[in-house]
Amino acid sequence: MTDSSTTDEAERASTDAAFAVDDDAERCPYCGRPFPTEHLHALHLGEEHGDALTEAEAERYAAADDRESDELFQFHIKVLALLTLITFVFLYSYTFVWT
Amino acid sequence: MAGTGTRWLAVLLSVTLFAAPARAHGGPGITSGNVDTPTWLFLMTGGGVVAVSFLLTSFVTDRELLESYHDRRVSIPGGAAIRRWGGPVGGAIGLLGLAGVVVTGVFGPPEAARSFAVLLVWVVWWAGFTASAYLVGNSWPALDPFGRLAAPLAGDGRLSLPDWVGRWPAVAGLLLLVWLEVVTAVASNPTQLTVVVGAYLAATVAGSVLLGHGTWRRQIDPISGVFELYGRVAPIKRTDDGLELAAPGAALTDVDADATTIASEIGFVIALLWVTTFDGFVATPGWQSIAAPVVRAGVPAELAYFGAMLGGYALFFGVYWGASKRVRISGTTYRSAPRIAAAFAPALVPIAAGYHFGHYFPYFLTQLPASVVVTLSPLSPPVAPPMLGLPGWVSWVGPVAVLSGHLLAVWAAHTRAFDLFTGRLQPIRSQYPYVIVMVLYTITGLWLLAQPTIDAPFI
Repeated sequence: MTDSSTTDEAERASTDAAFAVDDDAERCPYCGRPFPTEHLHALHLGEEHGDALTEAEAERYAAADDRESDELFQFHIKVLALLTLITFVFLYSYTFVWT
Repeated sequence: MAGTGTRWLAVLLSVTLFAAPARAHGGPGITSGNVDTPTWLFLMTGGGVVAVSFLLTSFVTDRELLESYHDRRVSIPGGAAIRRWGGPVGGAIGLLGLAGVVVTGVFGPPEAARSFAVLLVWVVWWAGFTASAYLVGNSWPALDPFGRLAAPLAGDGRLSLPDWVGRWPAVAGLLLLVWLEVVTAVASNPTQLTVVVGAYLAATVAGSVLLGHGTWRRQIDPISGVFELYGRVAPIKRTDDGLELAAPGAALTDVDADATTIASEIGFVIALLWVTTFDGFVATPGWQSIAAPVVRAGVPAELAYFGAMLGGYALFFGVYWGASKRVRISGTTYRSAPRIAAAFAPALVPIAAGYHFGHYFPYFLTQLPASVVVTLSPLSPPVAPPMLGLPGWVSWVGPVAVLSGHLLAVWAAHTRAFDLFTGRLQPIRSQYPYVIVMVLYTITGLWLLAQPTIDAPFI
């Protein structure tokens, strides 16, 4: 929450220690954290720096968050399908295979 | 019709109760029973439960909820008083216990079942007290008689270790202690036990004088390291001047990577996980058939055990390290593999705790009456101290404890992933490699429990 440059530098140093990355990776302008995709970067902006965003960044975040919600929904459909499958495999195993 | 209905109910119950009918047996003292479920189905159910629990956690994606789960602490009223009194009282109990072990180890009866030293160390301390460290809270710093005796002599340390040493001495110490426990009669012979306890006391004093008490405890002492890790699973935490409650698994955040080196801190967590497994592994017919040709070829059995100990540790470390590298791909992240490994390693501790509980709880119950009776007259105990006959449900404790440990581990890793990664899908996808490893590990753990327990062979 502090804006002092010393904190930023310390944060930047600790960030660099935690990541293995090429120099040309896209980095967050606020904390220097590198991101492999634009989508993750946009999400990070809203999650970590929600109070400090420019209008364009806020829009990027809103769009990315929408996309994330859609993808999560699709993911959960697949998870439900998998859970159903597992349930039937176990029902089958316990009733017919193990007698 | 009624018969079919009952049968269906039984099937449903057994599915819900993690294939409970399998009479998997835990630690020493339990006779083997009949296995009602085929082993493959028992193992598949265990692995399935862990996989399903991971799939279910994927529905919890609210960042604020997960964050408050992690950060919420409730301070315990009277905690400061407990801390103030806990030090002297715990210290007195610890010193009394140590003195009792040494005196009865030397002058007491030589039979394990009648020896105060053996019962106190293995039943009360290693089975019971260790369980209290992960179920309630770590009170070893208050109790520790070794550190207390060494403290007046310890200074700032005359030597300093090079950085690369890290916590590897503690890893070596832990592996060495468990190897000794398996290959020598230290678990049943009071004299040998006293020698090991004395050697450990001498090492604590020497280490504290030469290196300073902080370095000893942090980098070399395996025992306080084990309790510190187990204490992270427990609900009660120590603060600077009191006690507080945390949600289950909420304190299983990163290892303290900056304290020594990142690889050795992770290595210590893996060592704890491996030694609990090794303990069970060497008491199976499977190990007997692996070791038989090696021992027949003329290799000393102790060396075979040592090799298995080191090989298994390297395997566990390698698998975890490999999985952490895969997280970089499955989660699409730039985070470095060592940092990922450091972030998720403590989530493995509940697995070790679950395995410890499953292995030692029946043993603890069986030996508890004997421990009480022998404590009342340690130098002239009754000829045959009483043992507790265990009710049938105790055989369920093993599988349920192992699975509970894994479930808590999956949950802790899930909440950690939301701390580390961005959005809602990246944290879930990042966990794929770990979930695969965990399912395999559950199957291994349950397989060990389902094996008939034999005496460790060839020694």
